Amino acid sequence: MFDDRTERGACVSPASKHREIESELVWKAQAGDGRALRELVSRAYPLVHRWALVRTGDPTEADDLTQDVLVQLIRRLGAYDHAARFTTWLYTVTRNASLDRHRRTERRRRAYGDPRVAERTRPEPPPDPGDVADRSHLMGVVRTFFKELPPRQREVFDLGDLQGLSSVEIAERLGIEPVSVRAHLFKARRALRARILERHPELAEEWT
Amino acid sequence: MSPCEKMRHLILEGEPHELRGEGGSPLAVHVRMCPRCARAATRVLDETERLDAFLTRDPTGAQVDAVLERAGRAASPSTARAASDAPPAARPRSPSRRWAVLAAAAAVGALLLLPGRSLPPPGPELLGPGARRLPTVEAMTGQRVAVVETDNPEITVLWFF
Repeated sequence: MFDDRTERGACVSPASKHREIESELVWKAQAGDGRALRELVSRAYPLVHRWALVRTGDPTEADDLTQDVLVQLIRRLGAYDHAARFTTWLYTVTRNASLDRHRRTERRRRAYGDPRVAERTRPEPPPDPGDVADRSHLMGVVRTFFKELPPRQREVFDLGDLQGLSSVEIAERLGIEPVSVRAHLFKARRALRARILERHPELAEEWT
Repeated sequence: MSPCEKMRHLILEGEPHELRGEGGSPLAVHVRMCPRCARAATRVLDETERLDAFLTRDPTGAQVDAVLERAGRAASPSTARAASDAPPAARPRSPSRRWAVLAAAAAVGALLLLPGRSLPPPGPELLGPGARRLPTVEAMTGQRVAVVETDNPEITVLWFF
């Protein structure tokens, strides 16, 4: 997998080395080397899938979006000019594809009342407590909490706390100010961590 | 307000390394000294790691193959060439599709050679004594071409593959 992190924090491998390998692979793939292209797609896959999952919050949607993005990656590879990092460029492709997909879905819903969309937007019935307990056990409550965060907070939290990018790098990638990145990150942390600690009343009691 | 209550706010917003008790910040120092807050911080870190694991997925070979095949069908010539250079397993092609391609190529070739159509003159190496004059055909980059005679002297099949 591409190393999407900087030297900051827990990153163990030298980021510059990864960038070198990444850049070489891209050059080769652009020159028509099929093996390099396959390797590039294999390496980009987990990264794109992760971003797609963060953006959509839904594993099935994320799978579809990942396929779309990687096909676009191959189609548009010739247009990549190496001015920005490859992962930054790829992130932009992913975001645009995600937005396009969302717009298409919305258009379809408005025009035809797409039943698939209706199904997705229909309010869910109140959950059975037993089901919730089982599902929570299987899927992990924290994932549910994560999905409840606004998309921008999910993105920032993933890029910052999980992938270890700096505020400046996140700001550059998302096209927002670093101060906004910090604000989103704090909000996401507070919401997520508070919900995590709520699940453990014994820890809360210790504080009071 | 007890020191631990104050720290709770910091645990909710602190950097991950502070929650691990690394560094000299008030939160990191407190986490190192207070077992109760250390438990809470550890819980937060553990759950965050689980979330990270959920978001991390390595692709199967079939998923990569599917991407390459989809792109190969619709890509521009340069990137399509790169995709088609991938190892054979990446581009499974069903027998029926192969026959469809052959039939289409044969049909195109036959149309090109209908009487009245002008073709480039053949190279001398293609002509033996008494042989029919076969056309010179140049395939696109990355393709090969076979020229096949038929029983009908006016029809020659060009097979691009």
